[in-house]
Amino acid sequence: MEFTPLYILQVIPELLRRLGVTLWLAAATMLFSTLFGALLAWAKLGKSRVLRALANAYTAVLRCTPTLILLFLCYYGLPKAFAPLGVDLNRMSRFCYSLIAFTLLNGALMSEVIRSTYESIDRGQFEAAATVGMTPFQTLRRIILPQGVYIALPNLGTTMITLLKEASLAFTIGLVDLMGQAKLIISLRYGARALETYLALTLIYWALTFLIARLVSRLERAFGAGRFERAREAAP
Amino acid sequence: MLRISHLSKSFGSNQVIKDLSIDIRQGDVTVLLGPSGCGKTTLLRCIDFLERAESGTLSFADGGAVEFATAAKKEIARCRRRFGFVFQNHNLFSNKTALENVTEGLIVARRIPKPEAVAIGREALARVGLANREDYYPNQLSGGQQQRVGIARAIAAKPDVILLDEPTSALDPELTGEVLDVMKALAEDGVTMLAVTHEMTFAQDVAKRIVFMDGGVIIEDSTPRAFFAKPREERARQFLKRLLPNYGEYTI
Ligand SMILES: Nc1ncnc2c1ncn2[C@@H]1O[C@H](COP(=O)(O)OP(=O)(O)OP(=O)(O)O)[C@@H](O)[C@H]1O
Ligand SMILES: [Mg+2]
Repeated sequence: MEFTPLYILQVIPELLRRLGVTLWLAAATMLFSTLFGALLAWAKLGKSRVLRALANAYTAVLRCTPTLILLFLCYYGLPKAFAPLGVDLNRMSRFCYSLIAFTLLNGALMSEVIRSTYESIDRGQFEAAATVGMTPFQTLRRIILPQGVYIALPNLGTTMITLLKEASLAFTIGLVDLMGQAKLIISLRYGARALETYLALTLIYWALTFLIARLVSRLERAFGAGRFERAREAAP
Repeated sequence: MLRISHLSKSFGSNQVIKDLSIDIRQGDVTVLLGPSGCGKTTLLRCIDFLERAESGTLSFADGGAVEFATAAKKEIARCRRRFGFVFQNHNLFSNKTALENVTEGLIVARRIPKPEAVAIGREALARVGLANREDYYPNQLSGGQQQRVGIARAIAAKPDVILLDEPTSALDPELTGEVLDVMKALAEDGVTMLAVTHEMTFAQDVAKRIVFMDGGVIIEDSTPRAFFAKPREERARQFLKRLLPNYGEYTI
Protein backbone atom coordinates (compact mmCIF):
# COMPACT_ATOMS: atom_id res chain seq x y z
CA MET A 1 0.00 0.00 0.00
CA GLU A 2 1.15 3.50 -0.77
CA PHE A 3 2.26 5.88 1.99
CA THR A 4 -0.44 8.55 2.42
CA PRO A 5 0.72 11.57 4.44
CA LEU A 6 -2.79 12.99 4.56
CA TYR A 7 -3.96 9.97 6.52
CA ILE A 8 -1.69 11.03 9.37
CA LEU A 9 -3.85 14.09 9.90
CA GLN A 10 -7.06 12.16 9.45
CA VAL A 11 -6.23 9.60 12.11
CA ILE A 12 -5.19 12.11 14.75
CA PRO A 13 -8.75 12.95 15.93
CA GLU A 14 -9.51 9.26 16.17
CA LEU A 15 -6.45 8.70 18.33
CA LEU A 16 -7.19 11.72 20.49
CA ARG A 17 -10.42 10.15 21.65
CA ARG A 18 -8.21 8.16 24.04
CA LEU A 19 -6.00 11.08 25.04
CA GLY A 20 -7.90 11.31 28.32
CA VAL A 21 -6.88 7.81 29.38
CA THR A 22 -3.20 8.53 28.77
CA LEU A 23 -3.34 11.84 30.60
CA TRP A 24 -5.33 10.50 33.53
CA LEU A 25 -2.98 7.57 33.91
CA ALA A 26 0.07 9.84 33.86
CA ALA A 27 -1.46 12.38 36.22
CA ALA A 28 -2.76 9.83 38.71
CA THR A 29 0.54 7.97 38.63
CA MET A 30 2.41 11.20 39.23
CA LEU A 31 0.18 12.04 42.19
CA PHE A 32 0.37 8.64 43.86
CA SER A 33 4.05 8.14 43.17
CA THR A 34 4.82 11.54 44.67
CA LEU A 35 3.01 10.53 47.85
CA PHE A 36 4.59 7.08 47.86
CA GLY A 37 7.99 8.59 47.00
CA ALA A 38 7.68 11.09 49.85
CA LEU A 39 6.99 8.19 52.21
CA LEU A 40 10.04 6.30 50.94
CA ALA A 41 12.19 9.42 51.13
CA TRP A 42 11.02 9.99 54.69
CA ALA A 43 12.12 6.44 55.51
CA LYS A 44 15.47 6.95 53.80
CA LEU A 45 16.15 10.19 55.67
CA GLY A 46 14.84 8.94 58.98
CA LYS A 47 16.63 7.52 61.98
CA SER A 48 15.30 3.98 61.80
CA ARG A 49 17.88 1.69 60.26
CA VAL A 50 15.34 -0.93 59.35
CA LEU A 51 13.13 1.51 57.48
CA ARG A 52 16.12 3.03 55.74
CA ALA A 53 17.36 -0.38 54.61
CA LEU A 54 13.91 -1.40 53.43
CA ALA A 55 13.37 1.78 51.45
CA ASN A 56 16.79 1.56 49.86
CA ALA A 57 16.34 -2.09 48.97
CA TYR A 58 12.93 -1.38 47.48
CA THR A 59 14.35 1.41 45.33
CA ALA A 60 17.24 -0.73 44.15
CA VAL A 61 15.01 -3.66 43.21
CA LEU A 62 12.44 -1.56 41.39
CA ARG A 63 15.11 0.29 39.47
CA CYS A 64 16.39 -3.01 38.15
CA THR A 65 12.99 -4.24 37.02
CA PRO A 66 12.08 -3.59 33.38
CA THR A 67 8.84 -1.63 33.22
CA LEU A 68 7.13 -4.10 30.91
CA ILE A 69 7.93 -7.02 33.17
CA LEU A 70 6.71 -5.11 36.23
CA LEU A 71 3.46 -4.42 34.42
CA PHE A 72 2.97 -8.14 33.70
CA LEU A 73 3.97 -9.09 37.22
CA CYS A 74 1.27 -6.81 38.59
CA TYR A 75 -1.34 -7.90 36.10
CA TYR A 76 -0.84 -11.62 36.59
CA GLY A 77 0.63 -11.61 40.07
CA LEU A 78 -1.61 -9.31 42.12
CA PRO A 79 -4.82 -11.35 41.71
CA LYS A 80 -2.90 -14.49 42.76
CA ALA A 81 -1.30 -12.73 45.67
CA PHE A 82 -4.56 -11.33 46.95
CA ALA A 83 -6.72 -14.39 46.31
CA PRO A 84 -5.72 -16.16 49.57
CA LEU A 85 -6.78 -13.03 51.45
CA GLY A 86 -10.22 -13.35 49.97
CA VAL A 87 -9.81 -10.28 47.78
CA ASP A 88 -10.89 -10.80 44.22
CA LEU A 89 -8.90 -8.56 41.92
CA ASN A 90 -9.95 -10.23 38.71
CA ARG A 91 -12.46 -7.52 38.01
CA MET A 92 -10.11 -4.66 38.72
CA SER A 93 -9.77 -2.46 35.67
CA ARG A 94 -6.70 -2.50 33.48
CA PHE A 95 -6.34 1.16 34.26
CA CYS A 96 -5.91 0.29 37.94
CA TYR A 97 -3.32 -2.38 37.21
CA SER A 98 -1.40 0.09 35.10
CA LEU A 99 -1.68 2.75 37.79
CA ILE A 100 -0.38 0.34 40.43
CA ALA A 101 2.53 -0.88 38.33
CA PHE A 102 3.65 2.59 37.30
CA THR A 103 3.22 3.96 40.80
CA LEU A 104 5.37 1.18 42.26
CA LEU A 105 8.13 2.01 39.82
CA ASN A 106 7.77 5.76 39.75
CA GLY A 107 7.51 5.98 43.52
CA ALA A 108 11.02 4.55 43.73
CA LEU A 109 12.29 7.14 41.26
CA MET A 110 10.42 9.97 42.99
CA SER A 111 11.83 8.98 46.37
CA GLU A 112 15.31 9.60 44.99
CA VAL A 113 14.29 12.96 43.55
CA ILE A 114 12.76 13.99 46.86
CA ARG A 115 15.62 12.68 48.98
CA SER A 116 18.35 14.36 46.94
CA THR A 117 16.40 17.61 46.85
CA TYR A 118 15.90 17.61 50.58
CA GLU A 119 19.57 16.93 51.15
CA SER A 120 20.61 19.71 48.80
CA ILE A 121 18.83 22.35 50.86
CA ASP A 122 21.10 23.94 53.41
CA ARG A 123 20.22 22.70 56.90
CA GLY A 124 21.17 26.08 58.24
CA GLN A 125 17.87 27.50 57.06
CA PHE A 126 16.05 24.96 59.23
CA GLU A 127 18.01 26.17 62.23
CA ALA A 128 17.52 29.82 61.37
CA ALA A 129 13.78 29.21 61.15
CA ALA A 130 13.86 27.51 64.53
CA THR A 131 15.64 30.45 66.12
CA VAL A 132 12.89 32.82 64.96
CA GLY A 133 10.33 30.48 66.46
CA MET A 134 9.01 28.63 63.43
CA THR A 135 7.92 25.02 63.88
CA PRO A 136 9.45 22.29 61.68
CA PHE A 137 6.17 22.03 59.77
CA GLN A 138 5.99 25.77 59.12
CA THR A 139 9.60 25.68 57.97
CA LEU A 140 8.94 22.78 55.65
CA ARG A 141 5.93 24.44 54.08
CA ARG A 142 7.17 28.00 53.77
CA ILE A 143 10.93 27.68 53.34
CA ILE A 144 11.97 24.18 52.36
CA LEU A 145 9.19 23.08 50.02
CA PRO A 146 9.20 26.18 47.78
CA GLN A 147 12.95 25.86 47.38
CA GLY A 148 12.67 22.12 46.97
CA VAL A 149 10.09 22.34 44.22
CA TYR A 150 12.34 24.72 42.35
CA ILE A 151 15.39 22.51 42.75
CA ALA A 152 13.47 19.35 41.87
CA LEU A 153 11.61 20.75 38.87
CA PRO A 154 14.08 19.79 36.14
CA ASN A 155 14.21 16.27 37.61
CA LEU A 156 10.45 16.17 37.97
CA GLY A 157 10.03 17.24 34.36
CA THR A 158 12.28 14.44 33.15
CA THR A 159 10.47 11.93 35.35
CA MET A 160 7.10 13.10 34.08
CA ILE A 161 8.11 12.86 30.43
CA THR A 162 9.65 9.42 30.91
CA LEU A 163 6.50 8.29 32.67
CA LEU A 164 4.24 9.62 29.93
CA LYS A 165 6.18 7.66 27.34
CA GLU A 166 6.56 4.48 29.38
CA ALA A 167 2.88 4.49 30.20
CA SER A 168 2.25 3.64 26.55
CA LEU A 169 3.34 0.11 27.49
CA ALA A 170 0.01 -0.37 29.22
CA PHE A 171 -1.54 -1.42 25.93
CA THR A 172 0.19 -4.76 26.46
CA ILE A 173 -2.26 -5.62 29.23
CA GLY A 174 -5.12 -4.35 27.13
CA LEU A 175 -5.51 -0.77 28.28
CA VAL A 176 -6.90 1.35 25.47
CA ASP A 177 -4.97 4.57 25.87
CA LEU A 178 -3.42 6.49 22.95
CA MET A 179 -1.19 3.56 22.11
CA GLY A 180 -3.97 1.03 22.60
CA GLN A 181 -6.20 3.07 20.36
CA ALA A 182 -3.53 3.12 17.65
CA LYS A 183 -3.21 -0.66 17.88
CA LEU A 184 -6.98 -0.99 17.66
CA ILE A 185 -7.31 1.26 14.64
CA ILE A 186 -4.59 -0.62 12.84
CA SER A 187 -6.04 -4.01 13.54
CA LEU A 188 -9.51 -2.84 12.45
CA ARG A 189 -7.91 -2.03 9.11
CA TYR A 190 -6.17 -5.39 9.01
CA GLY A 191 -2.77 -3.82 9.43
CA ALA A 192 -3.19 -1.20 6.82
CA ARG A 193 -1.72 2.29 7.28
CA ALA A 194 0.25 1.24 10.32
CA LEU A 195 3.11 3.62 9.53
CA GLU A 196 0.81 6.64 9.16
CA THR A 197 -0.96 5.79 12.41
CA TYR A 198 2.29 5.49 14.35
CA LEU A 199 3.56 8.73 12.86
CA ALA A 200 0.37 10.44 14.00
CA LEU A 201 0.90 8.93 17.44
CA THR A 202 4.47 10.21 17.48
CA LEU A 203 3.25 13.71 16.71
CA ILE A 204 0.82 13.54 19.61
CA TYR A 205 3.52 12.39 22.03
CA TRP A 206 5.85 15.11 20.80
CA ALA A 207 3.19 17.72 21.42
CA LEU A 208 2.48 16.36 24.92
CA THR A 209 6.16 16.29 25.80
CA PHE A 210 6.58 19.80 24.50
CA LEU A 211 3.69 21.00 26.64
CA ILE A 212 5.09 19.37 29.76
CA ALA A 213 8.47 20.96 29.15
CA ARG A 214 6.80 24.34 28.75
CA LEU A 215 4.79 23.87 31.92
CA VAL A 216 7.92 22.93 33.86
CA SER A 217 9.83 25.99 32.74
CA ARG A 218 6.84 28.19 33.63
CA LEU A 219 6.80 26.65 37.09
CA GLU A 220 10.54 27.11 37.40
CA ARG A 221 10.05 30.79 36.82
CA ALA A 222 7.28 30.97 39.38
CA PHE A 223 9.22 29.13 42.08
CA GLY A 224 12.57 30.62 41.18
CA ALA A 225 11.90 34.08 42.57
CA GLY A 226 15.19 35.50 43.70
CA ARG A 227 17.15 33.15 41.51
CA PHE A 228 15.92 34.27 38.15
CA GLU A 229 16.20 37.91 39.09
CA ARG A 230 19.89 37.57 39.66
CA ALA A 231 20.43 39.66 36.54
CA ARG A 232 18.66 42.64 38.06
CA GLU A 233 20.88 45.58 38.92
CA ALA A 234 23.69 44.38 41.13
CA ALA A 235 23.65 46.07 44.48
CA PRO A 236 26.46 48.55 44.89
CA MET B 1 19.20 39.16 83.31
CA LEU B 2 19.73 35.53 82.62
CA ARG B 3 21.90 32.81 83.97
CA ILE B 4 23.23 29.60 82.54
CA SER B 5 24.36 27.21 85.19
CA HIS B 6 26.13 23.88 85.11
CA LEU B 7 25.80 23.39 81.38
CA SER B 8 27.35 20.19 80.02
CA LYS B 9 27.32 18.91 76.47
CA SER B 10 29.03 15.92 74.86
CA PHE B 11 29.21 14.62 71.34
CA GLY B 12 29.55 10.89 71.86
CA SER B 13 32.42 10.48 74.27
CA ASN B 14 33.79 13.94 73.54
CA GLN B 15 32.70 16.26 76.31
CA VAL B 16 32.71 19.70 74.71
CA ILE B 17 31.14 21.86 77.44
CA LYS B 18 32.00 20.98 81.01
CA ASP B 19 29.78 22.19 83.79
CA LEU B 20 29.90 25.75 82.52
CA SER B 21 28.10 28.63 84.22
CA ILE B 22 27.73 32.19 83.01
CA ASP B 23 25.59 35.22 83.83
CA ILE B 24 24.48 37.62 81.16
CA ARG B 25 23.74 41.12 82.39
CA GLN B 26 21.37 43.45 80.65
CA GLY B 27 23.06 45.82 78.21
CA ASP B 28 26.36 43.98 78.35
CA VAL B 29 28.32 43.18 75.28
CA THR B 30 30.16 39.99 76.10
CA VAL B 31 32.80 38.69 73.73
CA LEU B 32 33.53 35.01 73.95
CA LEU B 33 37.09 34.12 73.03
CA GLY B 34 38.95 30.87 72.88
CA PRO B 35 40.98 28.60 70.66
CA SER B 36 39.34 26.74 67.81
CA GLY B 37 37.36 23.73 68.95
CA CYS B 38 37.04 24.88 72.55
CA GLY B 39 33.26 24.83 72.37
CA LYS B 40 32.23 28.43 71.67
CA THR B 41 29.80 27.57 68.91
CA THR B 42 28.48 24.64 70.88
CA LEU B 43 27.82 26.87 73.88
CA LEU B 44 25.80 29.38 71.85
CA ARG B 45 23.90 26.58 70.12
CA CYS B 46 23.05 24.93 73.43
CA ILE B 47 21.77 28.21 74.83
CA ASP B 48 19.32 28.56 71.91
CA PHE B 49 18.44 24.83 71.98
CA LEU B 50 19.97 24.12 68.59
CA GLU B 51 21.88 21.41 70.44
CA ARG B 52 20.48 19.49 73.39
CA ALA B 53 22.74 19.80 76.41
CA GLU B 54 22.84 16.88 78.85
CA SER B 55 22.51 19.04 81.88
CA GLY B 56 22.28 22.63 82.99
CA THR B 57 19.69 25.24 83.81
CA LEU B 58 18.68 28.38 82.04
CA SER B 59 17.13 30.87 84.45
CA PHE B 60 15.79 34.34 83.96
CA ALA B 61 15.89 37.28 86.31
CA ASP B 62 12.17 37.87 85.85
CA GLY B 63 11.47 34.38 87.13
CA GLY B 64 11.29 31.04 85.48
CA ALA B 65 13.93 28.44 84.86
CA VAL B 66 14.28 25.71 82.30
CA GLU B 67 16.32 22.52 82.34
CA PHE B 68 18.31 22.27 79.11
CA ALA B 69 18.08 18.50 79.02
CA THR B 70 14.37 18.09 79.52
CA ALA B 71 12.73 21.28 78.23
CA ALA B 72 9.55 20.55 76.32
CA LYS B 73 8.76 22.06 72.93
CA LYS B 74 6.66 24.83 74.44
CA GLU B 75 9.33 25.81 76.92
CA ILE B 76 11.94 25.83 74.17
CA ALA B 77 9.73 28.08 72.07
CA ARG B 78 9.28 30.43 75.01
CA CYS B 79 13.03 30.55 75.69
CA ARG B 80 13.84 31.15 72.05
CA ARG B 81 11.77 34.32 72.10
CA ARG B 82 14.37 35.76 74.41
CA PHE B 83 17.21 35.13 71.99
CA GLY B 84 18.19 36.24 68.55
CA PHE B 85 20.77 34.17 66.73
CA VAL B 86 23.21 35.39 64.10
CA PHE B 87 24.92 32.57 62.23
CA GLN B 88 28.41 32.50 60.83
CA ASN B 89 27.08 32.13 57.28
CA HIS B 90 23.86 34.06 57.81
CA ASN B 91 21.49 31.18 56.87
CA LEU B 92 19.04 33.53 55.20
CA PHE B 93 15.96 32.00 53.60
CA SER B 94 16.97 32.07 49.95
CA ASN B 95 13.39 32.15 48.64
CA LYS B 96 12.53 35.24 50.65
CA THR B 97 13.44 38.89 50.18
CA ALA B 98 15.44 40.80 52.77
CA LEU B 99 12.23 42.16 54.29
CA GLU B 100 10.49 38.78 54.22
CA ASN B 101 13.49 37.21 55.92
CA VAL B 102 12.92 39.57 58.81
CA THR B 103 9.13 39.40 58.91
CA GLU B 104 8.71 35.64 58.33
CA GLY B 105 9.24 34.69 61.96
CA LEU B 106 7.18 37.63 63.19
CA ILE B 107 4.19 36.70 61.05
CA VAL B 108 4.38 32.91 61.16
CA ALA B 109 5.70 32.26 64.65
CA ARG B 110 4.74 35.35 66.63
CA ARG B 111 1.46 35.84 64.78
CA ILE B 112 1.99 39.57 64.45
CA PRO B 113 -0.39 41.02 61.83
CA LYS B 114 1.36 41.55 58.53
CA PRO B 115 1.26 45.37 58.32
CA GLU B 116 2.71 45.60 61.81
CA ALA B 117 5.35 42.99 61.03
CA VAL B 118 6.32 44.85 57.89
CA ALA B 119 6.73 48.05 59.88
CA ILE B 120 8.92 46.24 62.41
CA GLY B 121 10.88 44.62 59.58
CA ARG B 122 11.50 47.95 57.85
CA GLU B 123 12.69 49.46 61.10
CA ALA B 124 15.07 46.54 61.67
CA LEU B 125 16.46 46.83 58.15
CA ALA B 126 16.93 50.56 58.64
CA ARG B 127 18.90 49.87 61.80
CA VAL B 128 21.37 47.77 59.84
CA GLY B 129 21.51 50.34 57.04
CA LEU B 130 19.55 48.34 54.47
CA ALA B 131 16.34 50.34 54.20
CA ASN B 132 16.83 50.52 50.43
CA ARG B 133 17.35 46.79 49.96
CA GLU B 134 14.13 45.35 51.35
CA ASP B 135 13.01 43.74 48.07
CA TYR B 136 16.35 42.13 47.29
CA TYR B 137 16.76 38.39 47.51
CA PRO B 138 19.76 37.10 49.46
CA ASN B 139 21.71 36.21 46.32
CA GLN B 140 21.34 39.79 45.09
CA LEU B 141 23.09 41.08 48.19
CA SER B 142 26.78 41.23 49.05
CA GLY B 143 28.12 39.05 51.86
CA GLY B 144 28.19 41.97 54.24
CA GLN B 145 24.63 42.94 53.37
CA GLN B 146 23.46 39.35 53.80
CA GLN B 147 24.94 39.23 57.25
CA ARG B 148 23.31 42.54 58.12
CA VAL B 149 19.96 41.12 57.08
CA GLY B 150 20.80 38.18 59.36
CA ILE B 151 21.32 40.65 62.20
CA ALA B 152 18.09 42.49 61.35
CA ARG B 153 16.23 39.17 61.51
CA ALA B 154 17.76 38.45 64.92
CA ILE B 155 16.95 41.85 66.45
CA ALA B 156 13.51 42.36 64.90
CA ALA B 157 11.51 40.77 67.69
CA LYS B 158 13.50 42.68 70.32
CA PRO B 159 14.90 39.64 72.11
CA ASP B 160 16.66 39.97 75.44
CA VAL B 161 19.99 38.74 74.12
CA ILE B 162 21.51 38.45 70.66
CA LEU B 163 23.82 35.48 70.23
CA LEU B 164 26.35 35.97 67.47
CA ASP B 165 28.62 33.18 66.24
CA GLU B 166 31.57 34.66 64.36
CA PRO B 167 29.34 36.94 62.30
CA THR B 168 32.23 38.28 60.25
CA SER B 169 34.53 35.32 59.81
CA ALA B 170 32.90 34.07 56.61
CA LEU B 171 33.24 37.50 55.00
CA ASP B 172 35.88 39.02 52.79
CA PRO B 173 38.07 41.28 54.92
CA GLU B 174 36.80 44.45 53.24
CA LEU B 175 33.20 43.54 54.18
CA THR B 176 33.74 42.91 57.89
CA GLY B 177 33.78 46.62 58.70
CA GLU B 178 30.16 47.27 57.80
CA VAL B 179 28.96 44.35 59.94
CA LEU B 180 31.11 45.37 62.90
CA ASP B 181 29.78 48.92 62.59
CA VAL B 182 26.24 47.60 62.85
CA MET B 183 27.16 45.55 65.92
CA LYS B 184 28.81 48.58 67.46
CA ALA B 185 25.74 50.73 66.84
CA LEU B 186 23.56 48.07 68.49
CA ALA B 187 25.90 47.99 71.45
CA GLU B 188 25.59 51.74 71.79
CA ASP B 189 21.81 51.36 71.77
CA GLY B 190 22.13 49.06 74.75
CA VAL B 191 21.37 45.78 72.99
CA THR B 192 22.62 42.84 75.03
CA MET B 193 24.96 40.63 73.05
CA LEU B 194 26.95 37.47 73.52
CA ALA B 195 29.32 37.33 70.59
CA VAL B 196 31.99 34.93 69.45
CA THR B 197 34.40 36.89 67.32
CA HIS B 198 38.04 37.02 66.47
CA GLU B 199 37.84 40.74 65.69
CA MET B 200 40.12 42.01 68.40
CA THR B 201 39.42 45.68 67.82
CA PHE B 202 35.73 44.98 68.42
CA ALA B 203 36.60 43.03 71.56
CA GLN B 204 38.82 45.82 72.81
CA ASP B 205 36.66 48.81 71.92
CA VAL B 206 33.08 47.63 72.14
CA ALA B 207 32.94 44.71 74.56
CA LYS B 208 32.17 45.34 78.21
CA ARG B 209 33.36 41.93 79.15
CA ILE B 210 35.66 39.25 77.79
CA VAL B 211 35.01 35.61 78.54
CA PHE B 212 37.87 33.31 77.64
CA MET B 213 37.10 29.63 77.20
CA ASP B 214 39.29 26.62 76.75
CA GLY B 215 38.49 22.93 76.89
CA GLY B 216 34.81 23.56 77.50
CA VAL B 217 35.21 25.70 80.61
CA ILE B 218 35.52 29.42 81.24
CA ILE B 219 39.02 30.10 82.46
CA GLU B 220 38.93 33.86 82.49
CA ASP B 221 36.12 36.40 82.82
CA SER B 222 37.16 40.03 82.96
CA THR B 223 37.01 43.44 81.35
CA PRO B 224 38.68 43.99 77.97
CA ARG B 225 41.10 46.38 79.61
CA ALA B 226 42.26 43.86 82.17
CA PHE B 227 42.20 40.98 79.73
CA PHE B 228 44.21 42.60 76.98
CA ALA B 229 46.63 44.22 79.37
CA LYS B 230 47.55 41.00 81.09
CA PRO B 231 45.49 37.86 81.09
CA ARG B 232 45.90 35.89 84.25
CA GLU B 233 46.07 32.58 82.46
CA GLU B 234 48.98 31.37 80.41
CA ARG B 235 46.60 29.78 77.88
CA ALA B 236 44.94 33.15 77.29
CA ARG B 237 48.33 34.78 76.81
CA GLN B 238 49.26 32.18 74.22
CA PHE B 239 45.95 32.76 72.48
CA LEU B 240 46.47 36.51 72.31
CA LYS B 241 50.00 36.10 71.08
CA ARG B 242 48.72 34.13 68.12
CA LEU B 243 45.95 36.60 67.28
CA LEU B 244 47.86 39.79 67.86
CA PRO B 245 51.33 39.39 66.36
CA ASN B 246 52.76 42.40 68.18
CA TYR B 247 50.94 41.53 71.38
CA GLY B 248 53.85 41.40 73.80
CA GLU B 249 55.22 44.71 72.60
CA TYR B 250 52.60 47.19 73.64
CA THR B 251 51.45 45.54 76.80
CA ILE B 252 54.70 45.88 78.61
N1 LIG C 1 27.67 18.10 65.61
C1 LIG C 1 28.82 17.69 66.17
N2 LIG C 1 29.09 16.36 66.26
C2 LIG C 1 30.24 15.95 66.84
N3 LIG C 1 31.18 16.76 67.34
C3 LIG C 1 30.99 18.08 67.29
C4 LIG C 1 29.80 18.61 66.70
N4 LIG C 1 29.84 19.96 66.78
C5 LIG C 1 31.01 20.24 67.38
N5 LIG C 1 31.69 19.12 67.71
C6 LIG C 1 32.97 19.06 68.40
O1 LIG C 1 32.88 19.88 69.53
C7 LIG C 1 34.07 20.59 69.75
C8 LIG C 1 33.78 22.07 69.87
O2 LIG C 1 33.28 22.56 68.66
P1 LIG C 1 32.82 24.05 68.48
O3 LIG C 1 32.32 24.20 67.11
O4 LIG C 1 31.89 24.41 69.59
O5 LIG C 1 34.16 24.85 68.66
P2 LIG C 1 34.44 26.38 68.46
O6 LIG C 1 35.01 26.86 69.74
O7 LIG C 1 33.22 27.08 67.96
O8 LIG C 1 35.57 26.39 67.37
P3 LIG C 1 35.83 27.42 66.17
O9 LIG C 1 36.55 28.59 66.76
O10 LIG C 1 36.72 26.65 65.25
O11 LIG C 1 34.52 27.77 65.57
C9 LIG C 1 35.00 20.25 68.61
O12 LIG C 1 35.90 19.29 69.07
C10 LIG C 1 34.10 19.64 67.59
O13 LIG C 1 34.76 18.64 66.88
MG1 LIG D 1 32.69 28.04 66.12
